[in-house]
Amino acid sequence: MSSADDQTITLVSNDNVSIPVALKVAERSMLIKNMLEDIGESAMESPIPIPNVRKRASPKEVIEWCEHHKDDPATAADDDSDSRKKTTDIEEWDQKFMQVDQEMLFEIILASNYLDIKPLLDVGCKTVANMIKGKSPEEIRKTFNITNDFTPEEEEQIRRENEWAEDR
Amino acid sequence: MPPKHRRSSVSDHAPLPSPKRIRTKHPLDHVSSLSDELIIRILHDLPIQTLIQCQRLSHRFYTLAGDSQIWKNLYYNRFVLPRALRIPGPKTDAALHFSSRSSKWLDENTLLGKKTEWKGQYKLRHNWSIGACEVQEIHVADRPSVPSMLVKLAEGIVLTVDRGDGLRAWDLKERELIASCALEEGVAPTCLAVDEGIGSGRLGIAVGYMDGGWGTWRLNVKEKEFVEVYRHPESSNGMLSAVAYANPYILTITDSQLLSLYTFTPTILTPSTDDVDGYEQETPKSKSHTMFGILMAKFTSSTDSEIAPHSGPEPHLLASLKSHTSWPPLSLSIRTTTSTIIASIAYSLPTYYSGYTIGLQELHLSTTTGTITFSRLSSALPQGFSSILSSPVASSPSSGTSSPTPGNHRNDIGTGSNTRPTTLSYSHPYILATHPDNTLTLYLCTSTASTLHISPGTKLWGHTSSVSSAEITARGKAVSVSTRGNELRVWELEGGFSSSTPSKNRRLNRRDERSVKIRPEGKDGEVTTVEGRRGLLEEYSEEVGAQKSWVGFDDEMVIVLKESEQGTQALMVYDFT
Repeated sequence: MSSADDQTITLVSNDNVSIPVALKVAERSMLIKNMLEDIGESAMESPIPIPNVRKRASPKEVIEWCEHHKDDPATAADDDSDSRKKTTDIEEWDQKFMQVDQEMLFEIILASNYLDIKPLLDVGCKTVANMIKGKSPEEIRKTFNITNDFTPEEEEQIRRENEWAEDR
Repeated sequence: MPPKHRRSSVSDHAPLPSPKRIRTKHPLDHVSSLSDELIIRILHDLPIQTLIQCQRLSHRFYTLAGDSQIWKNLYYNRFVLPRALRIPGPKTDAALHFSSRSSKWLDENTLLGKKTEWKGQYKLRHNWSIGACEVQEIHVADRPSVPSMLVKLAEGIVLTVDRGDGLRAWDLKERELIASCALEEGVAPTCLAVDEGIGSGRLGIAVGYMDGGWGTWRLNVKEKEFVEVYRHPESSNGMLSAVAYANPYILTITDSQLLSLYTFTPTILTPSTDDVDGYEQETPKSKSHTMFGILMAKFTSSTDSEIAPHSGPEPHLLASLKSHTSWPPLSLSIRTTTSTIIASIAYSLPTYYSGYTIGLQELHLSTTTGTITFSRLSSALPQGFSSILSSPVASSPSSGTSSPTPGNHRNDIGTGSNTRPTTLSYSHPYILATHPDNTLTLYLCTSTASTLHISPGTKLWGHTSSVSSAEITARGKAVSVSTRGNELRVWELEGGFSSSTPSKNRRLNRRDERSVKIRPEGKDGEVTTVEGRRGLLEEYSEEVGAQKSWVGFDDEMVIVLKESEQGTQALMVYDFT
């Protein structure tokens, strides 16, 4: 398969918007890459539907990210090895990229998961983890609007159960 | 990394009421719209303190933040990786990253594959590392026994034997007596050994007596019963001082240092009817005389073997040796490989000028013929030993105490420093000796096909009174107990042979890291917070007069036999779960 820089393919989002994307950019998505490899050259001409990507995190943001990272080395596809560094270290461009509202942030995570773009998924997850880190349960609930379905007694039981790990 | 999570259940705790099926989801709660896999992926990036906060968010987060995969990763990074880093050899980044591949888990790969509850495992190791545990006592006897009660711990079962109450088994989880079996009238047990290798749910037990006889039992854990397997009659050779049992082999040694190795493996003429499993070889009844000359070096072959005819599975004497130079305490052990049985005796050895050191003799026997292939011995260079001859051994690092390094705390030349050990614990490749001078000495044995070598001892400090007992595992974890003062220490000694590192600071640092004093919860403000004081432990008071005479441990608990001044005996159970 030729991978000339100027080659483009067409993606179609679920609201029927066609988006032309450079092949090299689209191939940041392992889903699309594998699909193209399976189907072969013929797929290049026909538009590729990406139904699971919702309206708001329209492929726009994801594509923007892929554009920026199109020359990154491919990541190892070892599912089981934790090659990611522990949290916080997100490169500056990505940090800015992730300065979006929560709805968008989670749409990006969902889209990158569906499209199988691991580095973007990592950045998204780390961003959320950084929002959680160091907060009390009440603060976390407030940040993410999580409903507490524990009774105070239950919550206390869990606190006691985890007491051993509280400080090291 | 982990999109393909095997979902694993978290179930170690008191069950919380099941979550209400109808989730009242806030319209702006975007996190909850993610799949479990994605939330776990996010939680993977969190430090442990935040993770436990997340468990308090909601039922769903409680389950997800307790996910075994997350805790397995944390466990690896905290407890396995540091050990992997200590192993010499080239390191690549990729080689050290977390992986389920068992090769990366060193000997802890036994935890893999099974449905390990990783959060629980993490907590257990965490508690060991800081010495936090709960203490409970099991009262075992009202009066002192002579000779003193013998105790062993195996697979969560404590076995005790004494003259008055016979052989008893206690379940540590339930803290209750599960089986007991009286001994014959008048026999006094002097040594006890347990074999864990005879099959699941069963333990092999060997008890040696004052009169030179011994017996074996089988404990069926599920049925909660002792089954007497064999009774060896008394012997004129005197009291048995130690016994080791690795079915079908029994190794005994008498007070007068007569060592005997028996096997229950039947000859071809008497096919087995008992349920001893895992053998097919034939063993000649005659004992080997071929190595007589070599054995003379340390042990002279003994001629009196007194096997009385007995019904049932009858042991054959494979070897019998007598020593004139070994001193108690002794520690016997049997290791078996596919082709060899290695019977070893670790003993203390007086050096006359530099106090005591440790000697080790190994007998190698063929599993197919039962004959001794060879025997060899080695002893550790005593600390403070300096040879006027330029022996090659003298160049080994810690024998160099004759050229003192300024400020070196281990600079303990002098006869007083190597006091006679009070006990020895040998678990290949480690020998741990306890001393009345508040120290322990650790030796490392190297046993290959061609050589047997014991490293010079490494002194371990930490105790503030005489160390009365210690036990070490093959993985280098040890627990030691002081005679008085309720002091228990846990040692992580694997790879910790700092005697070769000349830097004083480094040595001190490492020594500090090595042992942790066990602090029962609620007793020590350093570990537990104010509210950590539990009612149960209030009654646990420091009995200064109590004698701690024996220690044993497994992955979850440490037990100590305690004898109070009034003569009552109790097992102290230190629970780390």
